Order: sequence, then C-alpha cells, then structure tokens
Amino acid sequence: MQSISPQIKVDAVRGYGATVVFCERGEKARQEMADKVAEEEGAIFLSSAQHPDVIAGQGTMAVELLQQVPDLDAIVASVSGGGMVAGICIAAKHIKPSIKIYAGEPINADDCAKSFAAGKRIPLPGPPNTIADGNVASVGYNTWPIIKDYLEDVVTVSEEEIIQATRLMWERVKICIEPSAGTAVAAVLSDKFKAIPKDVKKVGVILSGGNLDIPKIAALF
Amino acid sequence: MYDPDAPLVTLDELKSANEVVKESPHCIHTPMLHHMQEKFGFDESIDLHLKLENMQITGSFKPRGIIYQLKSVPEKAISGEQTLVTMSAGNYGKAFAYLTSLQKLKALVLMPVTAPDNRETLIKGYGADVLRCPSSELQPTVDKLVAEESMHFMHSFDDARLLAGHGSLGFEILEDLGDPDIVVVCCGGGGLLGGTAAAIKLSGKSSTRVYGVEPEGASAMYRSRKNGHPVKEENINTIAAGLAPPYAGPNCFRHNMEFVDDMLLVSDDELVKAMKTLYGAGLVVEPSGSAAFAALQNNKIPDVKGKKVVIVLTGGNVTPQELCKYMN
Repeated sequence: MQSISPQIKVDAVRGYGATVVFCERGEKARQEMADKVAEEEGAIFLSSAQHPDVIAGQGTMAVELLQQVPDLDAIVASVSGGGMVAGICIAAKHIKPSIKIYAGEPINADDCAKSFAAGKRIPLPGPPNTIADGNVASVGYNTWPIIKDYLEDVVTVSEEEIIQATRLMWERVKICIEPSAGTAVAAVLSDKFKAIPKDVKKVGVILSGGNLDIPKIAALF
Repeated sequence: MYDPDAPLVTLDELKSANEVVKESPHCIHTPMLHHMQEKFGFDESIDLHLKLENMQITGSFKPRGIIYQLKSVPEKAISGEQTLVTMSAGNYGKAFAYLTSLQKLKALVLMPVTAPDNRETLIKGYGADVLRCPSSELQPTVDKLVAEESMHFMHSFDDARLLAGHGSLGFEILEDLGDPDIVVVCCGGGGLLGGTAAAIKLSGKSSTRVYGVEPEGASAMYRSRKNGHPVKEENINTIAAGLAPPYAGPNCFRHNMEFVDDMLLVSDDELVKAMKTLYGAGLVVEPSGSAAFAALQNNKIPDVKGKKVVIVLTGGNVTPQELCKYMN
C-alpha cells in the first residue's frame, strides 16, 4: 500500500488478516515493491485493475444496476486503473448497446482524459496530488483498449468539486462516501456534464466506496 | 388551534393526510433497505429492513407531519397576515422554516438560549424569524404572542394534524413491505410513533407489533405509560436532543396507549454504538435517529427471531465534526 493510504484502509486490510507492505507514492514504486515481494516470497501478483477476472467481476456492478434500473441512459463511474470502468463498459454495452458510459476523473490525475483525447495511452508522469486516494493510478494495458472503444467521454473535476460533491452526499443524501466516489458525483454536477445530449435523461452514478478517515475529511468540509 | 384533548385519529383522516403528503413535492418516498441482518451481524433468522427517513427532505421525517399541519392553518396565515409561531431548535424548527418559506408564509421560531448558533443561522437562512429565550419562558412567550399579536401556534409534536401527517410513514412502510411483524420507531414527542402505529393498526395489521424507543435520560413516554397519564420530563440527560421534549404530550400519550405495543429504553452508549455501526455501513444517522436500531442491536425487542423487523432511521442531521466528537 502506498504511504498515502488512509489509515482506515490500512487497518481494514490488516483486520482481514493480510500483511501490509508499504511503498513510496506512485505506481512505479508500487509495482516495483509488488514485484520484489512476489519474488522474495514466491507469491503471485494480483493486479487491482488489469487482471481480466477483476475487470469481469467489476462488471457485475453494471449487470446489477441494469437489473434494478433497466432504462438507464448513462452510467458514470470514477476512474483510476480503469478496472471498474472497463468492466462496466463491457457489461453495460452488452446488455444495452445504446447506453453511454462516462468516467469521472480528478483533473489532478487526468491520465484517462489525456489518453482519451489523444487516442493512445498516456500514463501519469508521477504520483498525482489529489484528495481522491482511490483515483491515483493510471489506466493500464488491459483496461485502456476497452475504455478507448466503449467509453463515451471523460469528465475531469477539480479538488474543490470533489470535496463539495462528497460533502453534498453526506449533508443532503446522508450517505457517507469517500472522495473517489465523490469524483463520480462531481462529474455529474459539472458544467461539462450538463452539456451532454438531451436524450440522456436517466443517469446511474456508481458510489464506489465509503472508506474514509472521517476526521481528515471533516476538516475539509 | 392546538387542542390537547383531540380525539384519536381515524383511518379516514390518516388516509386523507396520506394523500396530501404523497402529493406534496416536499416529501419523498424514502428507500427501504431489505434483508440487512447479515450486514450487521444480527441473528440470521431476523429479517431486518431499514426505513431511511434520514434521507427525507430536510434530513428527517418532519415534513410528513408539517405538510398536513400546514393544511389546517387559518386563512390569515396563508394570506400572510398572520404569523405562524413554533418552539424548536431542532429538526421540527428546520423543516418548519423550510416549508413555510416555500409557501411564503410568515414564520417565527422560538428557541432556547442554549441552542447552538448554527441552528439559528440555518433557520434564519430559510427566511424564518428567530427569537431566543430561556427554556422556562418558551411556552409563556408563545402564549403572549398568540394573545397579543394574534399569532397562530403550531405545536411541534402534540398536534393531532401533525400526528396524522406522520402516519403517512406507516402506510409507506406497508407499501414497502406488506406484512412486517415488528416496526420500531424512535420516540421524542411521540407524534411519529403514534401516527405510524395508528396507520398500521387501523389498516388491519392488528398482529404487527409497534414499539417506541426513548433514551434512558429522556423517558417521559415510557414513564407516562407506567403511570397511566402523561408526565413531564425530569432531569433530561441524553445526547439525543431530538428525543427529549419537555413533557409527554396528551394527544401523543393517548395514541401511544391505544396503538403502540410497548416503550423500550436505550442508553447514550447504546445510541453511539448504533450510530457508529450505521456509519460503518455508509449511513449518516444522528443519535436521535439511531434509537430504534440501538434497541434491536442491544436485544431490547422481545421475540424477534424469525420475524420481519422494520427499523426506522428517523434523522441524519449530524455533521462530520459532531460524528467525530461522538466517536471519540
């Protein structure tokens, strides 16, 4: 786990019985440490986003959502390594080909937006600086081709927008979400999203997680 | 006019009130989460359903009753000639200020000098006037304003119309889940509890048990039942400010005796534990709103095994800062 991981997530991992090894910030450092530990311990490395089984498992979110609300016009989810967004793309587009999938992303970690605009994968140059600790990875070698083909667009949002969206969910909807989930909400509230086609009326938003250090986030609200 | 001797609400009135509440854009059909027993580690034979009134407009169930209560205010209040006055620094005051501002009615909220500043700011923000006075002066001040300035008093918990409007929760629970065995509701003034119980029992669900839950440190309704008549609150000592009115209202008491199966008590520690548990599941619930869940969590509800239990989370007006404070 990176050194910036919220304590609640570190505690939870340990609580479930896993051993935590810390690494420096950034994907490069994280991968290097993972490879090192895999070699030293004879362990198998499981990617948190690029493994096809992970992508497929994340896709069940879209299957479930479309069972609950079959006439959705769009689904919005926040993007990091892209496992969730890629899985949703494959599942949702298969069930309802006309559905539009949007990715919300912090502007401070906008590799997906840049990649999508350029038509080729452009990973982040280094560890990004964002409150959305679940959005810090770059879209990867397995998730990028899926996103490139199926995603409608990427909507980037500022740190302030992420914080305000997270706060809005707490104060008005009474759901405790973490900032990375706030990214998706912020995307829907953004000016860019307001300009999407008028026939996109029913929008599903994935509230992807609720693991946050409450004193830290309380200080931001 | 507030009538402390109002007759018990009838099924007809409950249904009329329900129509008014359902039609209103200022009250939503809140979600119900089903089969939650495993999530919280309860006995697997209990079929647990959570009614999320913390997600109601203004963050608590209050609009249900107030929407119907406002339907019976005098014409002069509707035209703006007469001011509507109430006493509440809490969720009632907030919803009252919000709903009166939407209808452009003149509104005044009295609150104790001890109420936090942010309550006053919030209520003023909706456009209502605020007047602070010592707790003991609240009722006398209301009486004076009614007598001398022709204001119309809206009781924040013991009004029969308010209770009828709150009954919409009972009908909604039956819509969400046809045949609950047990329904548990937090009890402050007892209006939500009374209205909900009346709606459920008068709908023919005579075998559905309805329980009310109060804090140990504010147990007026519990003690009223034991005494056979409504009693005043003494030595209020609880973090659940929303469940601590100064007395058990006579109308709420009568409905409690007629329609509610029993009253249960929970400690402040049990309230905090419930709030923490619900927060862990991603739900923002204030201490007062957690009482019914606390009762189930601490095995206070009789004969729950194998039963369909509905727990009402009545409010979520707690800030992250306040939550931090309670957790530590």
